[in-house]
Amino acid sequence: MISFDHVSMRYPDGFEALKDVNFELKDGEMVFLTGPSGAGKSTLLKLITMIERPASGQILFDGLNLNRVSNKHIYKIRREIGVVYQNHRLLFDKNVFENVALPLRVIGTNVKDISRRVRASISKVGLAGKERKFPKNLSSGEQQRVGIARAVVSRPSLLLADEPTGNLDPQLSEEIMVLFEQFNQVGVSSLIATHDIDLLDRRKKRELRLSKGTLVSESK
Amino acid sequence: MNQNRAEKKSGFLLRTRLLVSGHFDDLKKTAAELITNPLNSTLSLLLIAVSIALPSIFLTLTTNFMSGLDRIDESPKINVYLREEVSIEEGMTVTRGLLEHPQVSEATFISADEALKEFQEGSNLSGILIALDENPLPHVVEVVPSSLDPLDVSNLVMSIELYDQVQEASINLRWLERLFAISLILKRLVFVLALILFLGVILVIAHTIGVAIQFKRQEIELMLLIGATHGFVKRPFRYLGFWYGFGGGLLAAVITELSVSSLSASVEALAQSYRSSYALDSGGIVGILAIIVVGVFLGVVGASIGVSRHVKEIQN
Repeated sequence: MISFDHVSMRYPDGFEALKDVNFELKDGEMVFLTGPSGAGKSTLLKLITMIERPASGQILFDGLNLNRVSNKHIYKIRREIGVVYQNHRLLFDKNVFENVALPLRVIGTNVKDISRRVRASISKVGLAGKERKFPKNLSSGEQQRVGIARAVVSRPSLLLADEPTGNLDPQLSEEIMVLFEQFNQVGVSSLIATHDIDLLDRRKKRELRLSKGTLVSESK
Repeated sequence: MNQNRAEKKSGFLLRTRLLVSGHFDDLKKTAAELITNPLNSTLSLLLIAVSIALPSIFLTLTTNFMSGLDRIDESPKINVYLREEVSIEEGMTVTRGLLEHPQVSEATFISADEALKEFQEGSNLSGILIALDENPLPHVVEVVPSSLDPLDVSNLVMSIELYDQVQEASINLRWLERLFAISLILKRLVFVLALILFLGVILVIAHTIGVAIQFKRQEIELMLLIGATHGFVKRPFRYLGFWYGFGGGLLAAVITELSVSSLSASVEALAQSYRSSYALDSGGIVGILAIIVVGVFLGVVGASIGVSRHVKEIQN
């Protein structure tokens, strides 16, 4: 699905965020990306969504070398990826339904399919009946669920999450993780960045640990 | 991914229909935004409207001024004096020949006798002429040129003078030249004014769109992150520009009509004092449509500038 081959990344201010990173995420695999804040987790995810480009090395996405994708065609890559953000990035002037529908509107899905798939996605994350609510009237756990529903509504082949449980208490975090596992069980490859070690320990998933921009360990 | 591939295959017609309905949605939504946010949009709309209306009013007045000049009785005529020995029949032939000339719109033959009669009726000098033994006046052809451009007119005069039967062709070119120069200045003035104000309109719309984009920055960032094309993100703002231009143009047409019709009454009164009937012509439906088209054009151009500048800032 994803493979990093000697990837380094330096920001314009000279900060070297990633140094010679090598790893592979296989189709249908669920992998946790850990490490203290500032270790390069977010940068690594940004390279996959092409918000940033590597200084050297290459990234393959489904066999496609991302270095060869021009800025004009980045949108095609992003349509294959669902992203969950720590601050969920919901639009507060739109209700739950409209927020979840955004990725489908972007690809031009027709109204009937949008309605069907958005409802399915919302009920999958356990928010059925709250379609007309606005994000500010939801709890933070529910807001994050809306973010997840939005990330999966277009049935992406890859799900990325950047500290998805960062703002949640342990019980809510556990519920969110269960959701990710459910999506993974139906074949969605997932890469989840987190510093919540407890959540990891309870699961037998591969872990990629970053420290100061370097991949320090890979564990099963 | 399979899903997306299936969508790609889902047929040209369907995609076109989706595209059209998407555009239509944006058109409706942006219009609704303008209407539901009257405070934000009114000031911009008024500014746009006044900027378009001003040159429109001037243009209306100058075209009326110039068409008014055309209607003045003393429109420039070339007096073609025929040689003494030319007979009336020959003179008529020359007149018919002149009528065929592409630069001549009218040619009237005036025989020496007619000219004399006219002169006697029109002046106090008839006594002098009676004292003369014979009619000293030649046959004359009065020629009205089809173009008022002094260069065309003097070319016409020269070509007429080449006729064997013609003694002399004369016209008072100086007032024509002045008139022409004045109308040229007026035209230029309107052009320059329009250029400056239209540039202003474009900048106002670009700025207004820029503010709208800043206001929706979060949404645009998110849209780009979930795979929206730049075209998709820019589209609603282009339509917003379209509506600003359309609304501004419509308002400008109303302002122009009102101003011209309010001026019209006093112009008519003035014309009547010269025993002439003359009414301002505001250009009617064609004029209104032209103003709206200009507005829409400026709106679309302004929006493109605003959109490409501000979306570039956001990127990613």
